[in-house]
Amino acid sequence: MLAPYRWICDYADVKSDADTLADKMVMTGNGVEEVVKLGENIQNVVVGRIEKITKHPDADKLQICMIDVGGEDLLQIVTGADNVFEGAYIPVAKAPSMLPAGPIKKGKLRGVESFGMLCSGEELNLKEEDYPGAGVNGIMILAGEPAVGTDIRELLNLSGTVIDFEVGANRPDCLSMIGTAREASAADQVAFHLPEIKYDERQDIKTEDLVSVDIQAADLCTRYIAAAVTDVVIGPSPEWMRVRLREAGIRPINNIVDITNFVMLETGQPMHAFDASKIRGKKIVVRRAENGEKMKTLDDKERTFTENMLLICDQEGPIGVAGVMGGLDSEITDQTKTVVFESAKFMYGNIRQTSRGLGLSTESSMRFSKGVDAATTMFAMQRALTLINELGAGKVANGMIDVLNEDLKQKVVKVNAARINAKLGTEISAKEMQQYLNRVFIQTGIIGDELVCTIPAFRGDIYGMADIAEEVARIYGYDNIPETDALTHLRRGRVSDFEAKTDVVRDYLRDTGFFECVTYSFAGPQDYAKIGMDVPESVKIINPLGDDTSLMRTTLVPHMLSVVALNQNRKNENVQLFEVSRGYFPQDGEPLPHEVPMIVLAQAGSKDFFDMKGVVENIVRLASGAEIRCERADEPYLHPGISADIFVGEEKIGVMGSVHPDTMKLFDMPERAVIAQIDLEKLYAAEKPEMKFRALPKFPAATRDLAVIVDQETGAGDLKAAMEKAGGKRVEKVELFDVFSGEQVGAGKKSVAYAITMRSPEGTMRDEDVDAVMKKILKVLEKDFGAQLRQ
Amino acid sequence: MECEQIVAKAQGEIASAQSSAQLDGIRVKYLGKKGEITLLMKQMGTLPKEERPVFGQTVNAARKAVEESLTEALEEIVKKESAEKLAAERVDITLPGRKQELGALHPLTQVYREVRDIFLSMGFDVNEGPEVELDKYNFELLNIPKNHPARDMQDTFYVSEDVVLRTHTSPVQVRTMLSQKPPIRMVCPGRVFRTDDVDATHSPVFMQMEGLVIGKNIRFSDLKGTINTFIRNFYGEHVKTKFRPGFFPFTEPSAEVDVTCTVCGGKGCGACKGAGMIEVLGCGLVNPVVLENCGLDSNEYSGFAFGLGIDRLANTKYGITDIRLLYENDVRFLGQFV
Repeated sequence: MLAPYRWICDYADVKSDADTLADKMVMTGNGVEEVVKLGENIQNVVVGRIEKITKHPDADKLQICMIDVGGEDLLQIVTGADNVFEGAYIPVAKAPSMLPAGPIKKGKLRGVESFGMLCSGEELNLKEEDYPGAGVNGIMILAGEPAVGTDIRELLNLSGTVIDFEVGANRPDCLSMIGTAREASAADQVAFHLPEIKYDERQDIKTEDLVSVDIQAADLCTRYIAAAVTDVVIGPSPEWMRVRLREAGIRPINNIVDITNFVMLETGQPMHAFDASKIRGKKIVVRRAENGEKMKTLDDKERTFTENMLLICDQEGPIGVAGVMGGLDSEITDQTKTVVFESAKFMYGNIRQTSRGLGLSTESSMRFSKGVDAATTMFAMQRALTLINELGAGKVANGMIDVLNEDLKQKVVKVNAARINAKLGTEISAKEMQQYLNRVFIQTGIIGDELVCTIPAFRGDIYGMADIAEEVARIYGYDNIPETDALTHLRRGRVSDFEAKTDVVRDYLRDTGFFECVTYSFAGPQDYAKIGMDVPESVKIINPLGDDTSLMRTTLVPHMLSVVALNQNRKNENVQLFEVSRGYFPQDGEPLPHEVPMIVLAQAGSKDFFDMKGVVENIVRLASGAEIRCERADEPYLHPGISADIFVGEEKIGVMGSVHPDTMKLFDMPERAVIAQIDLEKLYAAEKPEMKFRALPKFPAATRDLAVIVDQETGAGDLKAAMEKAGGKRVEKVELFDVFSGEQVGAGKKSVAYAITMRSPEGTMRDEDVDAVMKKILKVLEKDFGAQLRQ
Repeated sequence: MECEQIVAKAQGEIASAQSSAQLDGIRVKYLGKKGEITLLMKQMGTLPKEERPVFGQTVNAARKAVEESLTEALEEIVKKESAEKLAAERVDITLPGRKQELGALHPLTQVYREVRDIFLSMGFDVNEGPEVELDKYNFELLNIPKNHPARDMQDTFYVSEDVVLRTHTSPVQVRTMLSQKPPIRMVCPGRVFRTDDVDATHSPVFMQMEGLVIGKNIRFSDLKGTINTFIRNFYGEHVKTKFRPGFFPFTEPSAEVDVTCTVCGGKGCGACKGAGMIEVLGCGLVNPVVLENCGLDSNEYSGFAFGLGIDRLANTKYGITDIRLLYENDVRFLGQFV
């Protein structure tokens, strides 16, 4: 919230300058975004008086002005504006100078030197409502006879300092200058005073003669105050008010609207002004909308309401959306003669819903959504009427209508001072606590060791001990609270099994040359289209950032392929990448999906299927001590001949393969890549056997080679598995060392050669025993695979 | 005498020998089976008996002298030859090493691990929880009822009226309190989601880590002690911290913690907007309302909680100015964190 420093000082006798005050406010819990020095984009612009105007010799539309800017010599400036005259007081940007739109340098216009520029209101960022005369088409003519040479920022009040506060959701009272000033008085330890309430009411006309109020939704509107003002004269508000509004980021409009805005900013209570003549039947009805009911709001947009939205209506229909925005038809105009002010308390949750439902957020709805207090509702109305009086903007009618549906009694909270100290780890006396609490307007008495705190209406955030402890702590100063150590270090914390295993996998991949990626968890229909899949049943986001991020992903593959493509297209060659993340799978009858941790791996460029298979084998070995088995996969995004489903035991844990050429095109991948995705939940389910020592073999091993010719389609892995099984316990290792096909082995055939290592724990194996094992193996190969021994 | 001449001649040849092969030749020539000195010794039989001892001694002395010269020369030459061989084997040590090129863990993982290890050493366990979460756990039990103004602090992705993408890892705290008896000391890392459009400082997905301590008589001063210990371990002993009052619905009192800007060291720069300090985490004593909501008696137990953005820590630690780089995964970026 933008709080002009001078406005804060209207209510608190602040001694610190704006920057120091901001620092002090931060340390007492009022966050500050920044301290803005206004007018810094206007430099070297002064008041000038035009002494003489002559025509430009070579240009019909230009005039040469000689200007008194307070120096010895007159300044020569060429202007194209035609509203200037001799004796006019105008803003002069003396070259070199700075305007919001950019720097002004001296120059020549059609051969005549010009030492600066005369400014329009627009060039100083001013509109007619900010400063009368600023809206004129041409140079801004200053009113009166201001001293020449005066800095224009001083003359027009353009150089205030504004503190931009970050107001917490618990402190709606600080969405106001008065609330901010209260905090400033506590932070700077200075006096605070409310503006005086004082106004005359005309005795001949009563508010209730002009309007009546009927609250039909008392649960959503616990206080509604209406007051009428007659004989209204619409005009500009005074400069002090316009300056404050402008510094707080609100455009001045006219005296009535400005008063409602000023009071809202001052007190935090949004106000509304109706043109009384537009309230049909002189009756204000506060009720829930009917489904489908329509009205045009002040911003000239037709709004359609639903049944839980609160409307301000007259006898015939809606004239405002409660707490959000007024209706176009009951708006204040230049012709308005009688005004009805509204100051009300609407329930925050409802206004928040309405504002979201309509997609319409205003200064008013923002404040109501955070909560206003019923005491301030009255203060704000009285303040508005005081300002009407002060500005002479109209005559206040007698009395007001006040429909009150809540208890205004102040809360009292009793807290034990020792408990506060026990909570904070401090030793603050009850007396000190009392002082701190009084400083933040919580009137506190002491009975024994007990603090009896009366909570002001504007502190709706304070309920109990913890809240009082926070108030004490923030004024005592967090810096003054000691550092202690309640934690003993007797045990090291533990990570989950999942994380421990994933650490091992991550480290292995890093050491193998892989780079870890992190991508978003969202997916869109196009991701599935690109990998040739139908969109699976997914977790759908109601309010996604876009269609392409509207689902929670069930696979990491499309994201990884996009990352591969990005790197390939940036000429990062042979990248090896992985990501560990979750897939989200809706479960029948459960509100939450099953979240499955997965790993996706990719190797681009020179690496092939078997490089990836090696990595996968190692990952599986490290994580579960198991070996994998491959079966042909059928994934639309993988090469049909170079892809496999990965099994551990009977469980399919993942898939890997070379990316299908069609998929490469869809992802704009210029080069090949292999990819794998593994379900980590399934992988880790296989418990890794405990590591146990085995005695080293005492006797030497015997090794024999065996080469057979089989059909091209026969899997070398299947052969190996069969050989291990057939060989029995004597076979220690079967290792493939050669595969080839060609003329010598015949069409459709291939030769595979294995080294078979055999060992016996009982002694060196005799040749005949070795031969017997080899014979058994060969027999199985011949029988099951039609293998032919290669001589 | 012939013997002395032979020795002199042999030593002359030894002195001029250039290689161990030449020395071998000399050895054969003088001391071999048919070597000159060996032949001399064979002449002994032809001498009169009384001359034999003297002759024998002379020849043996000659043999010894030649042998010694040979050994000496051989040592010398072996040394020289070995030096030459080593010199010939000399390599260009500035050629690159042969290696398995290293990859790298994502900077977020690296920073997370560093943070995690500090907390593990202080006895915090690591807990995990779902990323798609019940509204009840993400908000309601944390003292943020539906339509509460505090909901606006975290722009939320909704899956249904009652299910959200978690906006923080606090629901893991709730789940822990609901399922585990105090004392509790844990951290909960993970992905969180907010409806922020992507730009240099915002990302709809980011990494957070929160922590929770519940026990008897846990004080605000303990929170300060724990957080400062963490920060000194992570950023270094020289770093100063500042605890400012803050607001979170689930903690009371709450604090935001600033540390000395890592870029300028406190002087004030663009990264810290001139403040010399940067905000790194939020924390506070667990709101009694939250304790009660999670089934803990707030008269018996107290505790503190904190939350920090791993992305933010990574950015401040490595000086990354555009958060998008973290999620783009260009290996030229990732490769900077080997």
